[in-house]
Amino acid sequence: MSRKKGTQPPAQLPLDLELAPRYGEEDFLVGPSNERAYEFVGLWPDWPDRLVLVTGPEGSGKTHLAHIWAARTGAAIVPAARLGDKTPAALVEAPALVVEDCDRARWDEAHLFHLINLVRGHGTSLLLTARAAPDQWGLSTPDLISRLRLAPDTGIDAPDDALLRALMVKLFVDRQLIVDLSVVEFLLPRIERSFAGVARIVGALDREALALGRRVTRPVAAAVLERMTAA
Amino acid sequence: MKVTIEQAALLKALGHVHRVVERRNTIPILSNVLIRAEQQTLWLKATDLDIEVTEVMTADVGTAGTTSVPAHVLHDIVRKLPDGAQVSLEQSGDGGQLLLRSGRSRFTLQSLPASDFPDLAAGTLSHLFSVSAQELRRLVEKTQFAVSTEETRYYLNGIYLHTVQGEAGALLRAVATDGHRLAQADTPAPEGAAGMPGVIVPKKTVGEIQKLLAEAAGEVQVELSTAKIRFSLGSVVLTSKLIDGTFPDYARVIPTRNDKRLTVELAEFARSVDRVSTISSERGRAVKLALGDGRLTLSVNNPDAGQATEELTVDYEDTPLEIGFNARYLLDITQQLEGDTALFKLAEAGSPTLIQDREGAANLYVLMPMRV
Repeated sequence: MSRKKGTQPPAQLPLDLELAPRYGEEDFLVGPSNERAYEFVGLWPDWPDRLVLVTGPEGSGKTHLAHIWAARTGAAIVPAARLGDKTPAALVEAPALVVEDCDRARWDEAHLFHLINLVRGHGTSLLLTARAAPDQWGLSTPDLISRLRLAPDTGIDAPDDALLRALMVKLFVDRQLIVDLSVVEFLLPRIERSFAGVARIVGALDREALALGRRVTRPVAAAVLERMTAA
Repeated sequence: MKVTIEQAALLKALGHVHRVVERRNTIPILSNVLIRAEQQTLWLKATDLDIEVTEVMTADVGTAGTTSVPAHVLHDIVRKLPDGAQVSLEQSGDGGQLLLRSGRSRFTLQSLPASDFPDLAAGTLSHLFSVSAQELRRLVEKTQFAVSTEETRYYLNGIYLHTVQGEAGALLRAVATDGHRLAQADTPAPEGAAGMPGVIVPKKTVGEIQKLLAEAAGEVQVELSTAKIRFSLGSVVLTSKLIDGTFPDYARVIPTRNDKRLTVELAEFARSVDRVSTISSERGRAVKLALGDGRLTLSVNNPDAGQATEELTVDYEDTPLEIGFNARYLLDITQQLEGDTALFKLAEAGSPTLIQDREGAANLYVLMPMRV
């Protein structure tokens, strides 16, 4: 909400004390939208291919699945933006490898192409995460595109109501916040129905409650929603 | 049970243990203090199921035995007895009452069986170290003001005690924050503390240990596990549950690149903040600091009450900056500082500010500004 400078009441800003999300296997919430991806990760090492894609919208649990898989396989996790920090030969020395956010960074296509070939040669496994399918990554190397197209894609779909509700509770628990279920029920019909929408409101409520030095209540939730809608 | 003890010794011991007993209890035995007499010692214990305090003292034990009586009542009685009086405690034949006699005073207190008294089983305490009472007192005193009182933020409702690797060796560190300010105090890690789990000591325990430390000298023995902590201060032993939560990664909110350095005369600065904040509203409490070349202007603007400004000569040579803070938070921190001057390291109006006695001091404070 934009107000004229000087008319805003003084407000305490909170310290950025957010807790790291929990990426344990027991913390992963399974619903119809992500069941296939979750089961696929569990199938390893009996994968049909050494290269697997996990695509899904923001906040849908791709990173969480990657961490679950990494915990099982001892995989190294590399953000796509840092792919060039090590040579493909050095990267495949890890027992397995995750490359995160492949569609959200610029990286050397030849580097990934070489890495995929090395992975196949070494018999190790590579998991790539992205919000969109490889066709939409803006790639120009035809051989790389064809290899990525051939790789199994365990897409995560938009969540259903039950999963959104469970996710909201999980995100509050991750932040060690005690929140009444009535607040969750109040929020669910009023937010963007996506993984990211849930994550955004939970994050905003955590910060607002910390700034106010109050618990997360329905009035606090209503005020934050109003501000987010107006923004 | 029959035991005789001097009033002052009993009062001192009861003073240590009775505080932990809640004034209102739904479970009657939790209102009681456990009394055990054996082998010329009198042993007292009180608990609220989260904290347990015990104290041992020498006494003239005629007949060994155990019982429990209301803690606050016993404390009040002994408090009102004359100094130097001898107090005798005797269990009735059926064990249902305790007879207290001192001079011409006689009290009969209803007792409950000692066997019903709860035990805060500490389990195995994996780490043990000794720290001087003075240093432990400093760690607690310098940080406890920043502990959160918002109960749903349970993981911030205590002091985070842990070890870190400093430049000159391992450090035992206490950190507390309420999300608006953060206090950190260090002392060289005592032998045995290395590798201890980071633990969150609850606010009530902090308050109790602070009172015990106020009259303690010498060394305090600390034992802990991931679930419990025990402080032994001479004849008093306090055992407490820890907060079952994860303390946030506080290091990321401690600014390391704030390059605008402001040095103020501490007492003068605190008095000025206090004066101008007189006019601030109860809710806002915002004071604006306008920094220019060698000058600091403090101002408060309360549309309902008026305005206040005050100018100080300070050591500041950076680009001009305007930043708002909660006046009470500023005063809380200045009360913890000990030097004649205080060093503020600032970045911008929306970023955390670092406050210390001087560069590299053992205590540091981080304060988030207010949007003014």
